[in-house]
Amino acid sequence: MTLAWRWTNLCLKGMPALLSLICILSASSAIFGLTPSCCGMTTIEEAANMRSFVNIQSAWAYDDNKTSASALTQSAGAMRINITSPLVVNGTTGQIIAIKGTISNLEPAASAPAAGIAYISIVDTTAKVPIDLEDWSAEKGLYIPAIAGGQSLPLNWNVRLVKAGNYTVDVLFNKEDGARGGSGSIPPHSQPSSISSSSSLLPPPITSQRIVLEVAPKLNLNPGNVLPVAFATPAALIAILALINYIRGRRVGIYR
Amino acid sequence: MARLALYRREMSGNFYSWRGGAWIVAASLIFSMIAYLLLTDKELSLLDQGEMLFTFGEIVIALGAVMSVTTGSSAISSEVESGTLESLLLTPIHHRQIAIEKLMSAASMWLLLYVASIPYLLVLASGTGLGVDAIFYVGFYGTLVAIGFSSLSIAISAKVRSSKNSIMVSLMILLILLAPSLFFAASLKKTAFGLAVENINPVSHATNSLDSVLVDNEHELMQQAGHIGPVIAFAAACLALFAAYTRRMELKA
Repeated sequence: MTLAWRWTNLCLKGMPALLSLICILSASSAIFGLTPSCCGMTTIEEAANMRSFVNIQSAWAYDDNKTSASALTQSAGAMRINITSPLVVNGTTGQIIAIKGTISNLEPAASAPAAGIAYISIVDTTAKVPIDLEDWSAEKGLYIPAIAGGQSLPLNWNVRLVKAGNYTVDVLFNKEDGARGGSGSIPPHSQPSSISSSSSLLPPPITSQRIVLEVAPKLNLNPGNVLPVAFATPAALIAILALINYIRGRRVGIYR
Repeated sequence: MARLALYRREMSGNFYSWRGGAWIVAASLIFSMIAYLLLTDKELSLLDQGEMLFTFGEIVIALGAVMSVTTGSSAISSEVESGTLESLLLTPIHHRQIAIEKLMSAASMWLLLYVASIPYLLVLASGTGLGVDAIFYVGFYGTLVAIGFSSLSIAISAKVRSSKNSIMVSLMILLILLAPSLFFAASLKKTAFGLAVENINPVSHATNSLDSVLVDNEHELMQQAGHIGPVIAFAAACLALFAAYTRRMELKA
């Protein structure tokens, strides 16, 4: 078989694989080209478009019904969350800190009591992501069934510092919308024309002052005094086996 | 006639040489690494101590089961393959006595592994008051599981008479029974099929009982009756198979 024939043969055999690879690469670039935000990544341009869309929505809501917008501002301002624990907290991993505050209903005493959910949110300022609170706090949200006008209630979260880093902590309160019976749901994919109706917009959450949290790493090489057991047990077993081997060797005559 | 001569020979093979004793040293190194990881790893150190104990107890039982299967599945078939079964059958030891002494040596290896794990259980349980419960329940369920898997493996070894095949079959059975406890996510166990599998799986009963004792603090033996029964039934069924397949051993051409 000549060299040329061998090369031709190889190319013919490899052609299907090469064509498949080209098809896969083309399909991938087409898919990724059409949807740049796949895999949960959002480009800066998309984020800017999103912001402008939200601004337009807010503008429509404000322009179409200024009364409703002012009512929204009034309802948002009717509640206040004050942080009573320090606003700058320094801790070490493993430590448990307390985030304390009070939520106050600034409405007159005769008004209907407000209800809603108070919850805590922690953002990692180094990684620029909010963190999953699963290990940090056992109670992430607190439902307040009623807080009367002029009344204040204490809020308290025990937060375990799981990972070293720099964080900000916010306490938020989602007030239930009384007109919706407290369901708080809006129809999905609302068209802009429906935004003008005040009953479609929920008041924004009420937020507290932001707490700065700096967590230092903790180095503990012997937690729970495990090192002596971790080293001593295998060492003891090796010593016992060596002794048994030596005794048997002495009996047999291997060791004198 | 020396009593338990075969058992003593098996035990001396397990310990009277460095090769024989390496398994217990390797097991204790594994325990050291896991105990250290559980207590020092940034994420895992935030586990509740009961959950740490439960995780470690699961690992001890799983390791004991693996060792029992590995030891038992080559018990008879290795004698056949090395040609020593004939001389063994010529001794004045009854056929079933041979199998029983093999079973005793496999169970003894589990007991040694369990004794080696006790210091780790104590250090993981320090300050919780769960030490005694952990030691008791790990020993109780581990012994039943080890006896069950050892006897089942020896029965398979006596039937199949090929070390490779009997190890593969025994390990497959072990993996099928260990999979729901060690590999399945909690969400899979909550499906109807997952619950059905958990109800019939003796290893799942053992691990769920450990979870109930160490994590949920249900220490009373009567509270664990629903889990103890299936595990005892599993061990009894395996011993019945063992008795049936080791009643008579023959040399085959």
